[in-house]
Amino acid sequence: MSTPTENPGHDGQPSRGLALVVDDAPTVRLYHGGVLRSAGFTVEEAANGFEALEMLLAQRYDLVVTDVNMPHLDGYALVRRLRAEALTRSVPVITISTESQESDADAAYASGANLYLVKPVAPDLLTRVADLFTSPLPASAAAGPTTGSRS
Amino acid sequence: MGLVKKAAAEAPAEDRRDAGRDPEGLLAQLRSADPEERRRAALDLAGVAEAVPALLTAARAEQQPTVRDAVLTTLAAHDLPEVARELAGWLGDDDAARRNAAVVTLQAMPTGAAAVLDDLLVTGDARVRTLAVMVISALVHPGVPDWLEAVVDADPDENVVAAAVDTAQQLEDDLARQLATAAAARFPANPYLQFLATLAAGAR
Amino acid sequence: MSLASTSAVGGRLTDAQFARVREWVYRRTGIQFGDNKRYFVDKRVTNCVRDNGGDFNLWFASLRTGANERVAQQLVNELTVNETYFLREDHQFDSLVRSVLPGIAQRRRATGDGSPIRILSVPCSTGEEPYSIAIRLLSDWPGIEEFDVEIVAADIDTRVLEQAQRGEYGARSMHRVPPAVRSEFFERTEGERYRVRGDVREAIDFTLANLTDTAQMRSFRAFDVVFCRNVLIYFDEISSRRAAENLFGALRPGGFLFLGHSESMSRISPIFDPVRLPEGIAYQRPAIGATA
Repeated sequence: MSTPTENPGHDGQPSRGLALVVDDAPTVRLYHGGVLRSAGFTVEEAANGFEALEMLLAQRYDLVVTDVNMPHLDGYALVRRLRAEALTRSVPVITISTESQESDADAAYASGANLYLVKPVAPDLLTRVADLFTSPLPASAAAGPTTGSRS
Repeated sequence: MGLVKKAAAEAPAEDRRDAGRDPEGLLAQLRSADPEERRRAALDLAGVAEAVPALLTAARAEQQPTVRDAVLTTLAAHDLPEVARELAGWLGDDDAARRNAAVVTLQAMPTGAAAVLDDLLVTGDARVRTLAVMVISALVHPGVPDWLEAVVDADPDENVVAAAVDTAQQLEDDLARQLATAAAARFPANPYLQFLATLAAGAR
Repeated sequence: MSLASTSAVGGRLTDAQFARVREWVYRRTGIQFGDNKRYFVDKRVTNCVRDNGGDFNLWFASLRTGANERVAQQLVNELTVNETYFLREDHQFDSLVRSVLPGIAQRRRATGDGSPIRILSVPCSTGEEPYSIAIRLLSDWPGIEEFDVEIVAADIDTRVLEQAQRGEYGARSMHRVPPAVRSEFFERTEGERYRVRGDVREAIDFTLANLTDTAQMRSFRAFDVVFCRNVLIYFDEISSRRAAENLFGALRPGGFLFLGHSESMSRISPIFDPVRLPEGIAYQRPAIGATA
């Protein structure tokens, strides 16, 4: 089990980890998924919270990026279910919603989301926060920045 | 021990239940204190047109999501404006589960949804308009392209417009190209809409 | 042959066309086709397009607008393989005998509940599934010595029910049955035909029921396990939703539901809890009021 975030020895750029992108719109999955793929993640997709939950129970993911308003199981309910399951309790979750009111952010955090973003999300912002949530803890991250430019 | 056939003695218990299956009995059962009884009553009222008002009342009041889903399952088969009007009112609800339950049910009701969409698409709450587009995204109705076009032309919120382009992208190339281009022109700073325009331009 | 630019030339779809069909199929059936199924999907879809005039856009419009239900059914039929044979998708039977039944037995012992364990196979088609369950229980689950088990098998079609009750099968149904199981549970009738052992046939309760009809499904209650495989994909939204409710009603709280391996509840209804078993995902009926 590893998140091979930094591996200066390989130019082949090993995956930064496995990310699950959840949205009922295929084009949104393509957009968020594309950003994460460019950032080095391996990406899988789910079309609603329930499908995401099934996938998260079947396999370990390093990051979940999810919409809020979706059929059958919404993003908040998904995060609540993930936090209640031993298998999925610690997976970092970013919720991305169209809803910009304070109460929406409160609802996201109350459900157990790690971060709440409002659509549209700029690619570099998503890349940065995805990095943040999948990087090793500060003690080991202090060993060096993500680029190999130091040597 | 081993494989056995169901004991024939179970039949009388079923008969007792049948006795309570007239619409009057079921309407009373819909207000039972036992959620399982309410759930079964809601499902047993399938196809009973006179029960629609009581089902709407039950749907509004029901606190158990599982029971509420059963009520909505029966209501979804009554594709009527009055059912759609009740559900349209849920789109502004603070409970995400409740508003998404309404969306899913409206998606299966082309006639009812068509009766409420024109109003929903011009309400002041951008969230309600986003959810209205979500209804359209799975709706089987010939008016879908026109609704989407109206949203992209006039909706003040970039996310509502984006949701309309998302839906067009699932329908056909020409409509997707037309709406994605228009949306990107209206909101040039929106990276997602630029992405959609590029995507649509790439399709042959 | 049409030379319109939207025809699916040479049996290939454009990326956008593939994406649209994939999304439609997912919403309708819950089946997700990955990019690795591209060739398969392209081929089947272009067959459908060709049969309906050859223009992709016109065909997809009639699919998407629901103008012609036959077009929808044809696509679902093309993309799904409706085959039934003994021990099909047997990892689910592994789940049954290794994970699910031992758990149920443990709870029964803990609560002193001596009632029979109840298993439902719906639709049971020509009987391969309920007989497979019976055979796996008798050969691979030691708990059968300790507990009574009722197997009920239901289908909407009286002709397949008659075949199921007769319990006689040809080579196609039998191809996954190992010789030892053949000789223990089957009698050879003529040529390559085999008939399920009489006591196993008689132990299964075959009955008529329509999964989408709540009135017909009402007498199905308190099952511990339900197998409902490869049928929900054929139902439209309203019917599959009602079928899910009827399956929920057939299970006791905590009971397990198995769908076909490519199927998912995720596009139908949130009322079940997905649960991870060592052999794969199944669904569990929660107690009302206990869901998140």
